[in-house]
Amino acid sequence: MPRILVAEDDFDIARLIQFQLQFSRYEVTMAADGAEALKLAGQNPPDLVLIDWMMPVMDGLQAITALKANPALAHIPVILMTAKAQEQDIQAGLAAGAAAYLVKPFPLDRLISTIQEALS
Amino acid sequence: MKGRHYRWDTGLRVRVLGLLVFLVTLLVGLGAAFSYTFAHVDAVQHQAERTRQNVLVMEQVTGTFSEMTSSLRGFLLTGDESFLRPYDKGRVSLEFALNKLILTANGDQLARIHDAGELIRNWEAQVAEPEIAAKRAHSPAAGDLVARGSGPSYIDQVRLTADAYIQAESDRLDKEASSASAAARDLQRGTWLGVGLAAFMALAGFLVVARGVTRATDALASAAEAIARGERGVVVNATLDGELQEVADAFSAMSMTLGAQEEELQAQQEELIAQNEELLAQQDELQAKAERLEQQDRRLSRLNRMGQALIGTIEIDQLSHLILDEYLDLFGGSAGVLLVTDPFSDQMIVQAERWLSPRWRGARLTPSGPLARCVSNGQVVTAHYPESLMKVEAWQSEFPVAQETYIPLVHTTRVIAVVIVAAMEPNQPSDEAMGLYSSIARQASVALAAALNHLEVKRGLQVLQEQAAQVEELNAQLEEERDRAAAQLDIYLSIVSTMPAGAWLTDTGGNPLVVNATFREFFGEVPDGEDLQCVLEQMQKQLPKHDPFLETVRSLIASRDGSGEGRIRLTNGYVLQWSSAPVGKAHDLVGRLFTFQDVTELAKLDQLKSEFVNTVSHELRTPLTSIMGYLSLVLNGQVGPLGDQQRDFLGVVMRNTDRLSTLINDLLDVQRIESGRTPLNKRPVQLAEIVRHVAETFQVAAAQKGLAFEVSIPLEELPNIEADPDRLTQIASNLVSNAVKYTREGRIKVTVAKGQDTVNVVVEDTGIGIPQAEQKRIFEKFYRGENRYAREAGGTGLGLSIVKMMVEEHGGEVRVESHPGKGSRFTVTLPAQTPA
Repeated sequence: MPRILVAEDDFDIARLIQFQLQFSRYEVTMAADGAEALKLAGQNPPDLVLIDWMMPVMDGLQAITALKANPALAHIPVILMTAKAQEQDIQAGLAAGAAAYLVKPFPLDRLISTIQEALS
Repeated sequence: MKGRHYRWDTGLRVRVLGLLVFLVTLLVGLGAAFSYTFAHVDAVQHQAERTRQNVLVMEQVTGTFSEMTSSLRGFLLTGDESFLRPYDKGRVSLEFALNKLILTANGDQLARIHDAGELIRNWEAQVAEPEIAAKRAHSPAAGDLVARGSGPSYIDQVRLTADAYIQAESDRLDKEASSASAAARDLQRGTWLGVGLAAFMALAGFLVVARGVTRATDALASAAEAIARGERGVVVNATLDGELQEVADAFSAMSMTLGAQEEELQAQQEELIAQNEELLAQQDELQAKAERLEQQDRRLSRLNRMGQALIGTIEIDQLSHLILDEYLDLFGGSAGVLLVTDPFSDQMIVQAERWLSPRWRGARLTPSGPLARCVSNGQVVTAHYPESLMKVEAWQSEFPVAQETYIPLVHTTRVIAVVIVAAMEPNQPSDEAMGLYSSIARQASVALAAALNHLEVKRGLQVLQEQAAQVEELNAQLEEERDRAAAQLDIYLSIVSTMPAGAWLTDTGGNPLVVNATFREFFGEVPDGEDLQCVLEQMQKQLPKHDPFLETVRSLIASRDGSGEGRIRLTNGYVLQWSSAPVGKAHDLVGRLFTFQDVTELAKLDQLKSEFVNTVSHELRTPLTSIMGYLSLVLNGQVGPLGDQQRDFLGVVMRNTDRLSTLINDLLDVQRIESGRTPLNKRPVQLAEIVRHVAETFQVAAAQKGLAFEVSIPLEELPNIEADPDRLTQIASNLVSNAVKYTREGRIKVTVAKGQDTVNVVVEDTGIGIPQAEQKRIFEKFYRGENRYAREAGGTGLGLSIVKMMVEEHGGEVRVESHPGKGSRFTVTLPAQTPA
């Protein structure tokens, strides 16, 4: 059962994602911001990181940069979720090292298919 | 014979006198008879006139009397005094008329007039007056008076008397007339008798006198005849009366002397004849001398005149006519032509003519026949035409030409011209003509040669003058154009220096002509009269490093007629909207104008707006994510089974959430395009590829609605287009999504095809269609059709405006054709990439 680390500051969305991923038979670890996600990933590296961009303390982009800077964690695929839908934002996210980019709002089946794609 | 008196012979005189006396007496008698008769007739006429008058007056009397009686009656019946007016008038006029008659009457007629007067007066006194008095006194009744009135009997009596008078007058007139007529008849008879008698007497007298006269004249006539016959010494032997005898004697004496004189005269005459003959001989000699002198004089004066004329004329036309006329005169021709040799060919040109057929005027001809002979020999050639062959075709039809004389004009051994003189009758050139010919020919040749040279020179001059005029005209045009350009430039300069935007006008080479105050405000001071480089350096100071604007400026200037626009942000904070276009007409460019509009405030507002839209959109997305997520969990049954109605209603929530999400995306797109801050990520793209992907995406949705979905992409590779693939995807998606959304049944067809320099996408459907009136508005932002189904189908009202904006961003265009109830067809045309 692949382990997924989810960093999302919005409680409702975090709960939604957790529910769907568990429903889809993933092992889920939740973090409230980038910094926590980074800490959790360091303690127990997941198979995939799903991270929101706009978060307090450390935002998603910073967290990806940090993950990719850590050789032990750099190989973990990261999916960036955000409400920023503009071209330059997507480019910036992918440039930072994200494997995929999910624009909010997204249908849940797209979330699952994106995760499957990133894991394979 | 003057002074001699002839007296009548006595016997003859007595006879003539007797005859005259008789004739005079007869005439007097006839005259008396005529005058008596005429007097008689006059008197009768006079009498007749008086009688007629008398009759008229008498008739008037009866008429007046009758009027008086009726006037009286009228009065008696009515008592109206006005009826009496004719009665009173009648009394006076009757008295007057009767007196007039009395003056001319006598005997019985006088008695009748008196009777009539008496009757009328009696009637007045006994009848009229008493009745009038009675009526006025109103004593008896009017009717009684009328009945009693014996007026009618008086009238009858008066009329009878008048008729008797008139009858008597007429009878008298008749009597007079018949007596006059008898007198006239007598006179007529007497006249005939008198005239006959006079005629007889005159004839008898004439015969008696004539016999006496003829006897004498016969004798004289026979004597005269004898003298005429030449007999001399004849005496008239007859014994004649008085004067005739004297004549006869004189005649005899004259006859004698005539004989003697005649002989003397004959001798004198013979002498005179001899003298005369001698004189005639002398005269002939003198005349011949005079003629010779005159001829010489004529020849000299002609030569002189011609010489003067030739010297005075250098114009070829005038001169050639002069020469021609001279030759016509000289050679006695009626028609003629002067041909000039063309020095550059063998041909001759008709230079002057008289009576030449119009089709030969100004003609060129190659000499042949007599003309050729004349030219080659340089001698006069004469051609004769017998009557049957009269040469007419060259000359005007009035001239049947019988002879043509070809006369060469030789100058320095060359025949420079030939004069042809045509005559209607054959004639030999006179000695005078031949004598003058050589002198004239010399003069004419020299003059003609001079004139021909002059003509050449003049033509040359003319060409030169024409060229000079052309040059002058060109100069004037140039000057005018320069002036116009200068005036135009002045206008441009004044416009530029007063316009509110920053402006920079350059000449076609890019050198600044003028920079206005606003421009200086934006970019700082630019000294006047500086070159392009100086201006560019000054601009660079205010621009961020590596700003491409200056490069754009340079290439625009180099392009001469290109134009462009854009926005620049200066380091001093100004945001400027610039545009540049050539100034002047296409072929007549004055230069180029750059304008800079201050849009700093606008840019700030724009910035604020985009930030606002971005923020709001992002903030909306987060709650939407939750809504959509949880909804789909519930709808998917992941949290428990749902009732049908629950599923239905939650489906509605889901659809509207989708719609909200699309709206937010569309808003962001519009915002992004309008702000113009996101450059297109352009690269060569195969439109077909993108459309195929989009079609695949929508095939499922179409199938779910039971729509046929057809994609038509040509097999061969289409030209690339230079475009941002993401935008193209969005364009195609929006169109196909609309087609699926607004079609309930039928099919959707997506076609990619090659156009002329374009690649086109056509999206057709069999949907609800768009009414004509709405077709223009569907590309407006937030415009949504009036159709209820269209509204139910959901949509943001932004899709088509985004399509339009994006297509235009790529330099293409989008069109719609649609019929409500039948379907719509959207055509997007994008410029094909031209192979470099």
